[in-house]
Amino acid sequence: MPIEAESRTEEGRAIDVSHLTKIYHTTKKEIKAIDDVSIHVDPHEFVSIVGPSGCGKSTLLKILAGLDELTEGKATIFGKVIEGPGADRGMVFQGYTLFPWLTVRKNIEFGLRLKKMSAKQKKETSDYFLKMVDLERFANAYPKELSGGMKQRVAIARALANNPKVLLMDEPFGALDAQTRSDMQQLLLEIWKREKTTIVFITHDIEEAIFLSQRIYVMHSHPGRLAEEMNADLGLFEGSELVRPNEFLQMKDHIVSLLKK
Amino acid sequence: MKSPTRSKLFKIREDIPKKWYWTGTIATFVVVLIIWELMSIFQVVQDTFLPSPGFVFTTFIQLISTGSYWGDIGISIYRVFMGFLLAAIIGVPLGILAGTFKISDSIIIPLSEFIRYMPAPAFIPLVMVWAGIGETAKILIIFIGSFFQLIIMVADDTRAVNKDLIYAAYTLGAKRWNTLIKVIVPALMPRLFATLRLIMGWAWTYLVVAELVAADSGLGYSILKAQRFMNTNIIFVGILVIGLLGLIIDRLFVVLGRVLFPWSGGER
Ligand SMILES: Nc1ncnc2c1ncn2[C@@H]1O[C@H](COP(=O)(O)OP(=O)(O)O)[C@@H](O)[C@H]1O
Ligand SMILES: [Mg+2]
Repeated sequence: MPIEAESRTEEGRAIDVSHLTKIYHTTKKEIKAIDDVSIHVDPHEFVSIVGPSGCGKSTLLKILAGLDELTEGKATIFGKVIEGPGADRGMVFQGYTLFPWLTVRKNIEFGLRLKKMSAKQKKETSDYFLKMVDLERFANAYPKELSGGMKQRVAIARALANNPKVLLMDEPFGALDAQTRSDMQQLLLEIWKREKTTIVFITHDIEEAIFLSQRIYVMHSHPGRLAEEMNADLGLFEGSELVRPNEFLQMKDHIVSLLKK
Repeated sequence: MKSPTRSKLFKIREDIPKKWYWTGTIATFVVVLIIWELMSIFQVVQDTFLPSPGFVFTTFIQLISTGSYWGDIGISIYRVFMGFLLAAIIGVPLGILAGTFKISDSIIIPLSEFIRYMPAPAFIPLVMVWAGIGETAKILIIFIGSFFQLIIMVADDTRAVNKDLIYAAYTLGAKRWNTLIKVIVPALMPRLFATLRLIMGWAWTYLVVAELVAADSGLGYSILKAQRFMNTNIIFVGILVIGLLGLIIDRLFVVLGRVLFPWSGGER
């Protein structure tokens, strides 16, 4: 499906990836994790990447985060070539990556401390984000005292407190139970609407992608290729209520059939 | 509480009530003592070879009421700590470097691996040539015994730090130095502490080795001196005191670890 943002220039885009290929060299063989993938994300957009396990989703996100290098192609953030990790791209991982020796508040303030923010400003910022993820009561708790959902809420708060230009999320709710997961999805949507963050969200859960995103990229595996790009901003939901179930199912079936190919 | 049935007591890797755990522990000690006592009552082994528990106990009381025995204890503890501290102060930073940067690994690890297979006691004659039989010699032997092993274990501990934590730090704006100091080092602490605890145990072993061969004071030397006059009761006390001191220090490590790292879960 054609997308209206097609006319934007590279500079106007939050993220622009063109003809990206990633090859891993192991001692035995070469693995082509990503093959000629081009995607883009506009400022304030919520874009999901859906695909089966092993199709290169995490690899793609790591390259965007600057944690891994691409083999061929080009990846830019606001027109600047990505050359390494930086505070402009926050990331939330699937596994729990809170610093276990820091309290919830100190975790959220980690990036702020690196920026040498004043104590008062740090406190104000962490207060704001603690409230956002509804964890004020746990400000002084250590991560080991938190449930899985709470940990991911802290991870989101920690990334956002740093005020990144783009938030990269790699199956952040993958390890959560169904109820917590749907609570987290709603929380994330609220936050996105309020903070106008640009979000790249990776998942293998099709419904999650349709519910959350404005646009979806579907990927194939072996090697990881782009199958299709589609608009998901069709007003299928009002709040968390599914109001156009037929379109929803149609879209879901379409993605399922793409993934089967 | 209902007393646990056998099937409850023998669940693979499940907890049992604390009471039962302690019962098992105390019972073992009591049984060992009883067997020992019986052996001396029935003269299974001659008194000169195996003194009775009671005799060992009275010897223990006699010895620790003399100042000179406390002197032996003191000098032994001093040597262990000096050797241990020296190894830790130099070895921990080297181990962290080796576990963090591949290039440091290439410089530090292969050499350490090689030297660690050279038994520390074999260095004793050499150390005596270099350093005589003064305090330096003993501390050096403990150092040689623990240092190379420590480096390798600390490097392993460092490598075991979850890479996603490092990635998270990068995406929060940390550069290499901050990642090392503010993430790798704190993340490593509980494991490092467990390693130091193990190394401390080995330091005790090397202490005795050093004191048996090249000393005129200390607990190891007191054992050696007792052997000359067939005072097996004093030998027994020496061994027990060394064991007890080791145990006390080990427990202190555990308690200190709990106090220092309340955030750490999983490890005991
Ligand atoms: N560090 C690596 N070395 C070698 N192969 C890798 C590495 N990371 C990922 N791969 C391979 O690249 C492919 C894509 O992996 P990944 O991006 O993790 O997929 P996804 O996140 O979609 O499940 C897989 O075949 C995986 O085995
Ligand atoms: Mg993945």
